[in-house]
Amino acid sequence: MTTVMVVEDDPAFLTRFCKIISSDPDLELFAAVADLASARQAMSKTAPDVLLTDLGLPDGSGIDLIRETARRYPATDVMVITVFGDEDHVLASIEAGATGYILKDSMPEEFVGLIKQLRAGGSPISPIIARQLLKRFKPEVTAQEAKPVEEAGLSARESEVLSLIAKGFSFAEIARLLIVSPHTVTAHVKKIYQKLAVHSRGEAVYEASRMGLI
Amino acid sequence: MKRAGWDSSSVTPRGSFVRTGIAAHSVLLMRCLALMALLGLALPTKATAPDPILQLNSAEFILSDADQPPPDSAPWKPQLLPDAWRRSRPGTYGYAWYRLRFDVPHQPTEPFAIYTSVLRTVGVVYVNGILAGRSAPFDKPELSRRPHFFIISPSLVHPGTNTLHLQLYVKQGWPGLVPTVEAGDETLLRPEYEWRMLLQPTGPQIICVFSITFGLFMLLLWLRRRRESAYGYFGLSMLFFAVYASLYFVRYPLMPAHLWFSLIDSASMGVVVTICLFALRYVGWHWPRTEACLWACLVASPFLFFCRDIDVGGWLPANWYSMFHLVYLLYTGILIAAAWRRRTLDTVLLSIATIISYVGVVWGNYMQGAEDRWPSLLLYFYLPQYLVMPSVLPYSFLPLYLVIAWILVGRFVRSLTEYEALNAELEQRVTQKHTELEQNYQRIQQMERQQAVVEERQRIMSDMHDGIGGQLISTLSLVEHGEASSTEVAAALRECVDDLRLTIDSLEPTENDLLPILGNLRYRLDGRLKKQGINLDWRVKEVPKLSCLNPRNVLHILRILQEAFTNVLKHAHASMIRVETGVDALGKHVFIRVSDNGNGFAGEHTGRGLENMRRRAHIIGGELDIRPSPTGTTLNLSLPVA
Repeated sequence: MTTVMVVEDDPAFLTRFCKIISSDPDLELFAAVADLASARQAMSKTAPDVLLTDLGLPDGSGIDLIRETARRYPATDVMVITVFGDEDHVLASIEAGATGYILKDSMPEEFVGLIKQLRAGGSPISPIIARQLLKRFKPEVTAQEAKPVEEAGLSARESEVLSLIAKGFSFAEIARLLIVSPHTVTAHVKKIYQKLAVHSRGEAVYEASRMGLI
Repeated sequence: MKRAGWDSSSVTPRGSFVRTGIAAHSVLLMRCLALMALLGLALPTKATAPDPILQLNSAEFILSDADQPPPDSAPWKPQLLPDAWRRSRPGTYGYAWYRLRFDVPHQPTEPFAIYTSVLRTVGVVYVNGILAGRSAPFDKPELSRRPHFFIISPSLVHPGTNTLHLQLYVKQGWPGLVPTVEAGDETLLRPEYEWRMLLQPTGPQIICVFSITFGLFMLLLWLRRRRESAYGYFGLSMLFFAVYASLYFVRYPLMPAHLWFSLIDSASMGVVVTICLFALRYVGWHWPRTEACLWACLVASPFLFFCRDIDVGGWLPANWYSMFHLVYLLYTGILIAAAWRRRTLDTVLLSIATIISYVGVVWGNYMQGAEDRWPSLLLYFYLPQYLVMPSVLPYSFLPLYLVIAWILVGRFVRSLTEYEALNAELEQRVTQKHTELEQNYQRIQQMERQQAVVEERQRIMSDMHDGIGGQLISTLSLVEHGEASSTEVAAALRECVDDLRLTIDSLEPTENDLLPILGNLRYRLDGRLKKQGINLDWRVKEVPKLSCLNPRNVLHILRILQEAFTNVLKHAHASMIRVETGVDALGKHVFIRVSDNGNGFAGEHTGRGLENMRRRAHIIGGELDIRPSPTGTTLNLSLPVA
């Protein structure tokens, strides 16, 4: 049984998500709240297996919630609820610790499928996001300070997976192409997410020390 | 400038140098004056020699062709020294003897010496009847005013009165001159002789070499800078002066005396004419007639001087030398006038130097004792001493040369400074231009950015209008008329959202990479395809970057493909869609191929859609080819690489 918590300020959508979750036998609603404060309160002691959160909340940004959750409950998988799945929102969420996103208008079966896929190991990334991730890890000719590849960079296999995703191949197709099991591919994707979060945290530390905060 | 060779014809005044002491004193004084005049320096007076140097200024004279000193019985006549034949016996030439007596208190042990500051044209010295030396061979009479020094063996001199015979040969037309003869210890006399040698001929020699060098340098300067003709004239003037100055050290001219003197006088004329032209050019006055006259004067001079020296032509050649002073006065006048007007250091120095050189020239001419056209009491009184002094004339141009050199160096330094200043200014201007260009560039960039923003806004507006706006309005009217079921409305609205997503996807940075764009489309459509049970055969391959992939064109591509997929989904009843990408044979086009295994969707209800797709392909610069068939439809969109 997977416990799911929803943070969404639009009551109609909140209701819809709650309905979808309740109607699936494998999922259990952990909490359904409409703002940041309630979400924090709900997660003060324990955390759900999956956290679904909107980014624009009335009392703050969902990004903060994602970051806190990722730090306090690393076992919790976080997904962002977004209307368009556009690059800026998704990348920021992934950097904060999210491992995927759900489009607001997803069909119930897609919705449930994504949650299950996420629990199973990895959530799909859109090719454009994958491409941006590749760029993050491999700053081609930017003048920024080059970081040692092994520290924050991807392994050869991980970047191979990422670049295939960027070309639009599905996990199953990638597994076939690389002659590995689909589970391995999802494991790679999850690893990539984690690395990106670590990577961005490292960057944050670097930025902070540069600005004299630490 | 008068050549040194012409002796005066006036009579030596009697009783000028009666006592040896006074004479010695005056000679010393003269020497000092000459020194000061020559070098412009106050040299310390030479210490009077304690040992007697005998100044012999009274002699006895006889015209005689005898090879040996004539006997005492011969008709000797008293003669004061210096003796210039042009004055004492004009027109006379040939051989003559002078007899001088001097007392020696005791037998000398060191070499004895006889010194004459000048001896013309040829002198032979006998001491006590024995030949002691000669100034030159009789057949090579000497012209330069060089001193002579005869070293006598002490055994030739005996205590008491000694007799010195001087045989003189005066060639016809050449000046004859015997100065005060000095006798004494060789070591005591030698410094005087050497000093005299330095003043003449060594000094003029140095000046001559200097004039040639500097003159050639100036001429070269003029050759390289034709506009600076002043320097050309000055260089010419220096070369003329070098020819003239040779008079002061050339011992035996290579040509007959009259030719030689004509040459020298023409050269002196050349000096003043060219220096006058220099002055005119230097001050920048344009006097073409005067210049023509000067040139005529220069060209006529050799001829007229030659006529004078062979006594032909009468008054004009005889007085032609006055032209020298006329031109010189003109030149001095020009410079003084310019100095008066401009009052610059250069012109003032130049006119002062000119005056000095003119004074030197006149003074030098007086010293030659030949200038009877410029009578002077002083000259008349001191003439015999002037005759034997070295000439100041070769030195009188030194101040002028120094001033011109100063002016030249000044010009050079000034132009260097100006050049440097110009360079600095140019550099500054370049920097300024650079800054301006940068500012312009920034302004243009800003304008371009603004333009881009405007274009983007227009594009989004038109997209909204064409796409989602129209769809929303038609959906709205469906709902308002209550004609549609909620499922239909939902489908219509979902189409709106899909279109909006397409628009947003088109705005994502692509970096001209086609595959992520196609991938994203697949990502969007995957769910729907799966739901309809359609398999997607994804066979994309890496393609070159496409320069046409700006947001506008990306949206066109996405819409074309979306339309293609929608058509397959709606009408084709296919079970498989294959998406391929690749490059054509020439590598100039990239193709996207979408094929299905349905029964074709070409029909009247898709006509407008196809038309739209073609239009979009055309806007991008690509080509759309759709081949329907009963076993499936193939859509081929080809896009230019560059």
